[in-house]
Amino acid sequence: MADIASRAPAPAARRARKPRSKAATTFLDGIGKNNPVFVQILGICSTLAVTNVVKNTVVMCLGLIWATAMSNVSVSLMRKWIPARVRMIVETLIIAVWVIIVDIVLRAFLPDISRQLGPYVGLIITNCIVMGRTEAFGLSNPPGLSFIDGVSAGLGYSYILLIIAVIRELMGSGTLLSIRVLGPWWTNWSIMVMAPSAFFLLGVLIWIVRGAILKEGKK
Amino acid sequence: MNQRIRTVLFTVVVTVVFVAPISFVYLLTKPMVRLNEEVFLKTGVLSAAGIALPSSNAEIVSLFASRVEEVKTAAGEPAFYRVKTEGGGDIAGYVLISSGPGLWGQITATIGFDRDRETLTGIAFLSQSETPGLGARIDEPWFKTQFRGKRGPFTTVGEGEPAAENQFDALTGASITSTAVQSILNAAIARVTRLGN
Repeated sequence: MADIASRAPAPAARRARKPRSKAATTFLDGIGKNNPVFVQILGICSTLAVTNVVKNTVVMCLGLIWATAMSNVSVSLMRKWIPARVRMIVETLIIAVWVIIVDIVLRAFLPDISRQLGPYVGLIITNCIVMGRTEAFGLSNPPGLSFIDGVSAGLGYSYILLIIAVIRELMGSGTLLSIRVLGPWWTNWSIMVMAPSAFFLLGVLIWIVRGAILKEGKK
Repeated sequence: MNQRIRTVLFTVVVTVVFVAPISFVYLLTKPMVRLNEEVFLKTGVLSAAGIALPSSNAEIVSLFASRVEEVKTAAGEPAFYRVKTEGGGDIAGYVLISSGPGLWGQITATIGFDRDRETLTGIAFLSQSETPGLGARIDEPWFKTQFRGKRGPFTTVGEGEPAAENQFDALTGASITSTAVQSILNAAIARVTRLGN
C-alpha cells in the first residue's frame, strides 16, 4: 500500500508545469498521465473478470466511479479526525459501505444484471484503485477536489475497460450490447470470452499507450 | 494511553455510523429483493411449462397462482409443480427442479413435462456458473427451445447437426456443460415417472 501512495505525483511539481486550475489538473490526471490502469497498473483483476460483455462492464464501471468518488469524499471529510494508525481500516470500512449500497440497489432494481455480475460487484471493495485514491488523494485533499479525483480515476479505469469489452464482445460473440453486429461469416473467437484474452488485450493496450503517448512525458 | 482509547473509540463510532445506514437500506429493499427471487423462480417454472410469460412481476405472480400448484413430496425428495390447464382444473403437465454438477459449479434447471410424463414442454435454468460465451450459452433461447416436444432419455449431437427426437444439440467448446445438462435432464426423466399425481 505504501507503494501506491508513493506512485502519486507530487502536487507541487504538477502545479509548477501547468497553469491549469487545480480541479482541471486533478480531473485530467486520472484520465491521462496518472491513469490508474495504464500508469499505476492498478485494478487489473476486474479488468479480466467482467469485460467479456459490454453491458456488465458498463454497470461495473458505474459502480466503480460511484465507489471511488464517494469513498474519496468521505475519507476527505474525515481526514482531520482519522487517527493515522487505523486509517486503512477506516478507509476499507468506508469503501465497503459505498460498494454494498451498489450491490443492494442492483439486487433490488436490476436483478438480472446483479445475477450475472455475481460476486464481482462486492469485489469492487478490494479494487486497489479505490483504496489507492483514498490513500494517495482523499487523505490529504479537500472534499470537492477529492470527488473530482475519484470520478476521474473511475473514468480513467472505465474507458480502458470499455475498449477491452468492446473488442472482446465483438470478436468473442459477434455482438455489441447483445445486438448482433457481425454477420454469419464471422467465426467467434472462443478465447475472447475467456479471461486470458483480457490479459493479452490489456498488455497490448498498455504497450501501445506507454510506447506511443506516455514516453514523451517522461523525457 | 489516551491516544489508544481515542483510536479505539473512533473506530467503534465510525463503524456504527456507517453500518447503520446500510442496514436501513438493506431492510428497505428486502421485500423487493425477495419478490425478485420469487418472480425469478416462478418465471423458470412457467417457461419450463411452455406458458407464455407476461411482462410485469404482478402478472407473473397471478398467472403462476392460477396455473401452477406446488406439490410437496414426503420422502425428503424435492417438491415438484403440477401445471393445470387454462380455466379448468385438469392436469396439463409437471415441472421438476433438477440439478447436477457443471464445469464450475452446480447447474439447476426447471424441466417441464407434458401430461404423458414423457414429452418435454421446455426447460429453464435457475442457476449456473459456466464459462461465459461457452458453457453459459445454455441460457440462450435457441438452446432451451430445442427441447420442446422431444422425449428422452437424451443423447447429444454436435451443434447445428440434425437431432432426432431423443437427441439435442450440444454446445461447441462446452462438452462438459453439455454432458451435465444431459444427465440433469435424464435424472428428471427418470424421476417424473415415479411421481404421484
